[in-house]
Amino acid sequence: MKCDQREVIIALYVEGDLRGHEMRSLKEHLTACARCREFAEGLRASQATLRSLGAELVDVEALQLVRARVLSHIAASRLVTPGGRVWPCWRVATAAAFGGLLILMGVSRLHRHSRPPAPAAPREVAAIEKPAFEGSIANATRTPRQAAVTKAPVVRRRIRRNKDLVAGARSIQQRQPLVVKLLTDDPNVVIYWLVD
Amino acid sequence: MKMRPEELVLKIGVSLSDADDASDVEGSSTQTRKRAIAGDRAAFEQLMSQHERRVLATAYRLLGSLEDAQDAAQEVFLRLFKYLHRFDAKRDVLPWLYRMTVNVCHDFRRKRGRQAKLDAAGESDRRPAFAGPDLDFERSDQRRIIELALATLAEKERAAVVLRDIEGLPTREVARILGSSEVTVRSQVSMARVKIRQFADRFEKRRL
Repeated sequence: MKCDQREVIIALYVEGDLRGHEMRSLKEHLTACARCREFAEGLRASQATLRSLGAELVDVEALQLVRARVLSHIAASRLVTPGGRVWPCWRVATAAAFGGLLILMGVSRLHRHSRPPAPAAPREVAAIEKPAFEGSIANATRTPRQAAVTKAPVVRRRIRRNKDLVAGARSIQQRQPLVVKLLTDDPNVVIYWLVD
Repeated sequence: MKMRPEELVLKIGVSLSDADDASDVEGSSTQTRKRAIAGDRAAFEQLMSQHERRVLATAYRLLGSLEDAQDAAQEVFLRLFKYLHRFDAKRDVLPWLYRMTVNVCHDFRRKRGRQAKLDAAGESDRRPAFAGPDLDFERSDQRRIIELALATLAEKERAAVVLRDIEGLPTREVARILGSSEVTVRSQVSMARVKIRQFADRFEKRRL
């Protein structure tokens, strides 16, 4: 083994990390090789300096700064419950968001109940029963459109009135005329009646 | 009382820690850890004050910058606070702190890229963060050379030699902290020692 290759082993030897055969072999080599002895001496010196770094005193201000930053960070980002349990900030944020959502839902529900009910749109203002045609072969052979034009059907109107209808009619009375849609049994005949 | 090898390693690690750490390792430290785990803020502060010097010093050796080391130490203790409830109060937190320090410093270096190495090797007018008592010029100069040599090492070699030679941890515990085998750690440490010696030799020759 060349001396260059022994340097790694010498680095272990000077710190007492070699055992058994390796150590005995290296010791024998060191007694004979001045270059390796010199390298070992240099290593001992640098290792002594390296170890002395561990005995250095740390700047107290640097330590205090770290401690202060850690404690302030903990105080700012977390809440401590009376039992000593720590709530991470994400849990606090989630709980706050959920609570806010519940409050919003409650407020919106209250607001909805306090508003007056919207008037129902008039679905059907008037219904027309089946006209009582006098059965005649002539009318039966005509098309429905011709029948509607030539002879107006005799209808009996029955207007269903209820509270919603009246309220709806009153609410829209000032804005636009009431539209009455008259239906017949003929799908092609629809009569619209505008009431002021 | 028989001890498992793992516990023995932990005890050795603690005995190589500060003297005050070693004296109360079984007594008040366990109580402090229990109270800190239960949510006692004062106990957590006490726990932090016991280990902050080692965390900051290790981070400084790994990063080469006091400002970065302070940021890293802050992150390590915030993680300690976050995961404290998972700890067993009977076990020392120091090995975990070392491992977390190495991981956080690795993240810092990865984020900064090569900037850390350049900073550590290039800046000579930085305010000294650590001071040895009553050092003459020659010894302080040697320390400076060794610090520069440390900055030139590969990240894993640097972590191994910092934990093994500067922090004085046994090879077995260093291997556990770094998540590698003892053989790998021995190889990394010996290579790092050789590189530091060679760097110091080259530095001396250039100066002459």
